[in-house]
Amino acid sequence: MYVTFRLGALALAIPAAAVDEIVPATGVRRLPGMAPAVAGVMLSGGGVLGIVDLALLAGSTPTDERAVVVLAGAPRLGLLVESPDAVPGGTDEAAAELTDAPLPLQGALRCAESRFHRLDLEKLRRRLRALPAGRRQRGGEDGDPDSGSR
Amino acid sequence: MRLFLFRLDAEWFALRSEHVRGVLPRDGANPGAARLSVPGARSSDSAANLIVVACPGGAEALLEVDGVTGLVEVREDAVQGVPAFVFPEAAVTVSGVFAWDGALAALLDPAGLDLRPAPPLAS
Repeated sequence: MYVTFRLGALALAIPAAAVDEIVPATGVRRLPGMAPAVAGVMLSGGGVLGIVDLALLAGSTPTDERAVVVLAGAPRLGLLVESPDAVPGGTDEAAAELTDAPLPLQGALRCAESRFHRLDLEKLRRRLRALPAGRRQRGGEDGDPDSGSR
Repeated sequence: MRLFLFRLDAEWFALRSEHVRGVLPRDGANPGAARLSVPGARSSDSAANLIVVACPGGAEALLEVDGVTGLVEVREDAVQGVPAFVFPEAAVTVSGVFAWDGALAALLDPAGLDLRPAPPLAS
């Protein structure tokens, strides 16, 4: 089972096991001083969720009608995406032609007539950790980027 | 913990009570006083009040806000940290968030606010 969504013309998929839930993008609170690719924060599951705008991270134009795919694992992370859906599975395919894609991809998945590029969540998390590395806290206290709080 | 709650640009914000010295009407302050602003927040056209904020080092400066709720009691564990990747800059403006009135309120750190010092006195 996969959760699929769109980023402009790009169709993406992640394993459903990596997803906690999909929620409407209401209640996302923008905060002063956020990183450019961050849409805001919201409460989910009793905790604060950082919401990454995949369109902004990829340098494309965000649309208005989107939802938040809440990822399992730490740090708590939500992806603001277009048209989330689910597909039962499919056949793995190589996707070498997208090595310069704006997001980390890991092969592709064909399901019926549709083809989805797999989003590499580990590399995505690493990219997020790298964005503010060493500059996010005062007094040179880098802390654990996965700690989820300051 | 006691927090001073207010609205700015239609959003809830708060400061720790020890960081707030008082509230003034918009036209009730010395025009030459030092001013604060929240980085990245839009300035308000309808600011009704000025909050007198105790800045690091003991100085005071004024922050324009839209509406003041005043002191509220919030449980310590209700204020939650924000995932580190949310903020790229060293000057942390928001030290936590908490649920308030069906929305999220942001707890501000005075040290992360932009300070515009008082102009020098004319001779």
